[in-house]
Amino acid sequence: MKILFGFIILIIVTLFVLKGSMNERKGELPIFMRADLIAENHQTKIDVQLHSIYQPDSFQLAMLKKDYSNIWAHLNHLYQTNEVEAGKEYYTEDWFKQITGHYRGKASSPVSRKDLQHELHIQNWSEDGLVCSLIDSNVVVHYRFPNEKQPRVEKMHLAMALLLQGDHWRIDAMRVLK
Amino acid sequence: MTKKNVYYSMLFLFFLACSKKEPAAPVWLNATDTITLPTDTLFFSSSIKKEWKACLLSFVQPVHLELKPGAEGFIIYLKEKTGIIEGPAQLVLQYNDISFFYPIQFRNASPGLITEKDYRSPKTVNPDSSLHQHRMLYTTDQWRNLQLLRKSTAFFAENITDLTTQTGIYPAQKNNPVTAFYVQPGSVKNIQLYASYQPSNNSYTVETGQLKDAYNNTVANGTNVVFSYWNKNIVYKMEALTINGKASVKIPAAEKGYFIAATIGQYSSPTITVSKPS
Repeated sequence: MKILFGFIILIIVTLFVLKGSMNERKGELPIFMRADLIAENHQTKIDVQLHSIYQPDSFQLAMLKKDYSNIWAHLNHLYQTNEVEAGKEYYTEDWFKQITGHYRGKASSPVSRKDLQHELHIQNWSEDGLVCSLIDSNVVVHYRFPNEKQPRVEKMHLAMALLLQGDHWRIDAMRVLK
Repeated sequence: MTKKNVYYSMLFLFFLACSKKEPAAPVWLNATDTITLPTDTLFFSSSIKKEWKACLLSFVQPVHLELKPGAEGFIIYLKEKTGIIEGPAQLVLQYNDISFFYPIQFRNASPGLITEKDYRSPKTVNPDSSLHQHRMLYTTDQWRNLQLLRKSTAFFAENITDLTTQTGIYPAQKNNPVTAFYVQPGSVKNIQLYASYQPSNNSYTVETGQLKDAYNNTVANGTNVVFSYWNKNIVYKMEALTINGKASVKIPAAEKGYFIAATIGQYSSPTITVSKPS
């Protein structure tokens, strides 16, 4: 009887241990423990000009530049792969909802994009430093098409609304200007 | 020699049969610079009607397009009613590994639900410090495309607004509680004191009048009031918190009378006296 009881206890403990270790494996690491290789491997040139009533201090400006570069790293990745989740730390909830509306699994686009230069004109900066609207003028973008040796260079102007949420600037809305 | 030639010819024909047929670029029959989805249907002429894949490479992401064979080639359309970020795009047609590109401008058929964003900061103001608020505006459609502001040619606007001096919760936008901001009462500007002797429990009851800020708002509940009372020898202190703008204390009538004053922060009431009736 004692042996049978001990055996049952052993099975229960084993089940709990196995379940625990399985849960641990399924769990997602918190953002500060994850390496964002897409953002880390991205480089671009960003110049900033301020036109707003309230203006960011040097620390806030450095953070904005870094996050704006990361946003573009993920926008380029999204353009090429339609992998919507990769950049979710840089999207607001509304933006994320919008892009998932056209998600049908990972895709491989024949065209890749690289942003080389940005000229941010900060139009508005909220007094509490949580909202920023900007015009990114003279964005220089390279598109690589298959079977073309040279990239196609395009210049464009963009309007963008960014929100500071959860330690990151996130894209909330945009408009490609003529 | 003739036999050899026949073998070579057969080998050549065999390779020709095995090699894939490269399709010519499909001709866009109703070609246009700007397409509007999901309302537009795109007609293409091609000798190959099946096995094509179509996608719209929008500025943000690739969007899958439906494709079905048509009379002269195939027809492309967007199945989903969800919009996309508008702007320059590439219409991509793929046949096996071969891609054909058609540069276009993309527009949504409908903007869907238009949302006017009205960000206020700070969210909570106090007349002691400021009655001004920074306001930022932008408008988006349902698909996160920035839209021009109402009656404006700009996408963004900001201004400094003056707020009412009356306390309350005010929505920046009607029927949108998330946009609410708060005007809280400031600090007291005038303290009136009233005191009387209570023979039933041999004590003095000391009560403030209605405590109000510079704009006639009742001070916040829980404001700390320090009551000081003294006679010739000793100064005593008692504290009470305001409820509905008033605070009161009961002082044991150990002495025949006291001088009493109340203090809130840097403001003090005039000194009053209270004594037992003789």
